[in-house]
Amino acid sequence: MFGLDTPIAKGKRKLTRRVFLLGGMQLAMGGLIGYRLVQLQAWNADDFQELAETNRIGFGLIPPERGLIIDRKGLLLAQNEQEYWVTFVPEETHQKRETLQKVSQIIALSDQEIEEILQKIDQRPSFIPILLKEKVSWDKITKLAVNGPALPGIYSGFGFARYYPQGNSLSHLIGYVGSPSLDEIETNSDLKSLLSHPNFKIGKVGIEKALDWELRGTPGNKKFEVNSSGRKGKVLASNDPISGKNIQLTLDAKLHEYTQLVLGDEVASVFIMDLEKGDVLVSASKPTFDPNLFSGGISSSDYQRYLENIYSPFFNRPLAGQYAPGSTFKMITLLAALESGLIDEDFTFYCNGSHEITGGVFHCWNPKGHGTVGIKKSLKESCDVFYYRLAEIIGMERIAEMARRFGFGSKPELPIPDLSSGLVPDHKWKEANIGQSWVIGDTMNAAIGQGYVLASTAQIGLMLGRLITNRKIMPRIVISKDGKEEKINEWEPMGISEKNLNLVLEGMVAALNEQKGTAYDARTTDSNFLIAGKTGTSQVRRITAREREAGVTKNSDLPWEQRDHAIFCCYGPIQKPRYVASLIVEHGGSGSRVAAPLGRELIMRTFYDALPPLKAYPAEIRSKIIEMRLNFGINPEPPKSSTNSRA
Amino acid sequence: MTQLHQTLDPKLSLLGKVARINWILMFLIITLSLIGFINLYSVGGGSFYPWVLPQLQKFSFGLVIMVGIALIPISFWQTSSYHIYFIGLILLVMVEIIGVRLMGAQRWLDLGIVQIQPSEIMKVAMVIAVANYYSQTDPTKVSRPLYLIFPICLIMLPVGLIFIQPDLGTAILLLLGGGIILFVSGVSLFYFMGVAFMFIGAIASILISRGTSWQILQDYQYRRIDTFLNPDSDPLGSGYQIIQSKIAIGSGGLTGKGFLNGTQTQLNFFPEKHTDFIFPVLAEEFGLFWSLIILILFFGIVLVCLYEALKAQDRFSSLLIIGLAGTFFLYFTVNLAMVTGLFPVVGIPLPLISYGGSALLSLMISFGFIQSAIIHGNKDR
Repeated sequence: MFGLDTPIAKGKRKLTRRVFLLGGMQLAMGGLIGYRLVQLQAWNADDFQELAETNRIGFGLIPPERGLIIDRKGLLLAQNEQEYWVTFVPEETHQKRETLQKVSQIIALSDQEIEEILQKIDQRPSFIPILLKEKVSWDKITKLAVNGPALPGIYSGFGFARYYPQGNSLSHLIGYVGSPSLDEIETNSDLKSLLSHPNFKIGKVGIEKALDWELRGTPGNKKFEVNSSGRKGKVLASNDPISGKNIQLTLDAKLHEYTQLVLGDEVASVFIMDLEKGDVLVSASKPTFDPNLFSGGISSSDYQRYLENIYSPFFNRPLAGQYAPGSTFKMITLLAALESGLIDEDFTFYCNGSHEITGGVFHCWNPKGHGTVGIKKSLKESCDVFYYRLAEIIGMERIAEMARRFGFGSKPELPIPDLSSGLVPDHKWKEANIGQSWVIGDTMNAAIGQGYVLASTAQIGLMLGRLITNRKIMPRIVISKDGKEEKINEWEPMGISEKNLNLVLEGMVAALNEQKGTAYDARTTDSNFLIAGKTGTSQVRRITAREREAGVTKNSDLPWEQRDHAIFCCYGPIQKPRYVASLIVEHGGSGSRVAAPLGRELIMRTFYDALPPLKAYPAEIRSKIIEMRLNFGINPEPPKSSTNSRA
Repeated sequence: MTQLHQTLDPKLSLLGKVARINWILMFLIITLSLIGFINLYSVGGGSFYPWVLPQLQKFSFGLVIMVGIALIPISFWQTSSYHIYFIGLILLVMVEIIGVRLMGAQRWLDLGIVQIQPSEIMKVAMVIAVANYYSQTDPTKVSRPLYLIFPICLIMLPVGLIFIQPDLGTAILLLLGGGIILFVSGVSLFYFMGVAFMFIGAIASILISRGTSWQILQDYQYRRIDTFLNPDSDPLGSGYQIIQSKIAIGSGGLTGKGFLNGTQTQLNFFPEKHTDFIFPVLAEEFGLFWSLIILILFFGIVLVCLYEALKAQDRFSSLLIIGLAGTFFLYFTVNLAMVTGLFPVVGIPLPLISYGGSALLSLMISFGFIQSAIIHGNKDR
């Protein structure tokens, strides 16, 4: 044929041959696959059907049980309770909103909650289950199961929820747990594996947050068979989770409960420490919140209610609050003066009610004046003029240096997030932060704990502990982790002359145990447990000269939020000091009238480790104590056996 | 008039073109896609969401693109072939530089409006370029080494770029797709045997290199080889997918468990069941009868294409159809061999059935070119 041998025709023939070869190979491959399908689906189908019925494998992560928290006597502060929860896997439906609305008819989700959940869905990979509700009743779980087909992506589960049996009395310190936020997942890469587990929680506040790492434990995992109806069967392999460490704290839960009771409706903070090992027995804040609302995911209305409370219930006052320490700071000024050698134990100064310097008049709290004031009387009657004079003699740097040695201006070493360091002002600080140079008036204000000086309730208690022990005492809050006692650091000596310290302590003894002492009414009368202390009144707002003329001289004439803070710190027993207590009642008014009696009540309750015996109170107020106890609904005269003091 | 002139004559009415479309091929494509939609409905747990409706949109869009390409004369595509190839190559290089990392591999390119996967474009572009080269080369000289350098470069450049993404599966299939064109172009069989020996040598060195400082493949790729050779050695780890897939297919039996009743599928026993592992879903619920029908439908497409390739009068059209149909063949056989445990798991979707926009679009473009070759390449008869 024509053209048979042209390159094009040759190519075409070769192509045809090769196409047949290729087609043949392709069909052979098809035959192989067809043969394989027949092999699997016809000849071996029975075996595979049996496998499909029984041999199905599921994977699961077993979250660890969170460590328990107990108080010094073994009372549970944080434990784990069994609960049911409901989750949603977003990728299993496109009608997310509709599904959530349907499910809300059973587990009651508010519109706002649904919006929040939808928002969360957008932020996370869609295969990760999202927790919808915790602490769901068994009743509702069965209802969900019945409606399963209409609710794609909705699952229920079973796990542990955190429970705080002491309720709200220790909530600021213990804190609470919650689902990790996206930020927290970013910063804790180890959390990523647990992310898919819906009810895994981490500590958000307080000890739960600070010791989260140890409380959390290590997750386990398991591989199990699942039968054809989706039910879990035999576990094939598993690694058990390792529970978190159990932590014993130095706190006394019963004492905390009593503290909350005694403080009533005041906005206040209390710090009580045992000087033997520096154990913090009480660190209480009022008002408070219920941590149990958080462990199941707090509803936005509850949360809003707390946020709108003007007394800030989330604020951990004893550790994070900052107040002018008022007259409780006078011990520092006095000690700075004595240690400087610029005054001696016989130093006196005349108080006529005010102290005049170039540029202004500084008033004593007692406008009539205290007459001739010596060291003991200066503390006992808390004469301001005496301290104005000391300020003039020694200057700010000496006061600031002494304050720092006693722990002011730095955070105590406690495993608690958000501690305040307070403030010890000096020349440099004022220039850097206020932009003005330091004046003598600033020193005078600082000498009586007003002006720029700031301290927390805990710092005031710590100062007192250091005064008594003459050592750089540090508070501790953790006794042991999984039964292993924490190491207690040796406290360095403060290196202050014992003689000078005793002069200061004598003044504090006099303030409670001698007539005309500022806290004489708050004394105790049990010779085994006499207490000493110092009152303070922290000025929130100075009474102006015009108001003074207009007759406003008393703090109680001012509106609540402008009234002074009432402060008291004390220790006991005076022969062999063991306990220190400090407290601040916000806008409580006078330290001696409001704070001191509360302080006595709490340090006595600490010492006796029970309701204090009536004989420990001065005779003239015993009827008032009985009345108070009746108001609290407790037996005013406790049985004899409970009057034994703490071992 | 010479044959060539007739072939390239652009004067063909629109109606004439539509009449020349291979409607059997069209029918097979649409039928397989419909089976795919039904299957995705089942994967979605008996719902049009999240898979069926988006896939339906993409398919409709792909259908329009396919017809559009088919109506443009094949001579235009032939003259543009190197340009298309060059653009594809540039996009592949850009992926290396500015690509988006997704699931551990750098395959996507974000062009602002759309994300594209240049390796999908290259699957088509490379075939067109190589087919163009061989249509212009004297068939008696194709086996000369000098004449082999250029087409091998055309194939190896994209293969290399895709291999380092890393996307081993696509790279191998691209290599084999190019090899099919060389094969039908008449390149001496000795070369293919030589390559086969080198391949065996390469496999040997890959296996020997494991654990040494010059280890060739990634660890996960070695694990895939292990599980392929013995899936039961690690039933809870990487062999899980293959075992579950085989159980799904096997337990379907002759008649299947019924639509939406596949326990393996509905109880979430294997991952990627909307993409690479979609065939087990179908086999489990519909049984052997339908499995074989699907196999036959796939081969129907390949055989129709081979028939049209033989019928076509110009060499470019023949080579183009064979190359594109060959790539299609490779995809579905590798996928089916993988899910039935004949091949290792390489991450290749089942064309027309698996969920996924980019692969579907490139497939529809391929069929567009095939139809264009059928319409315009056989014009004289």
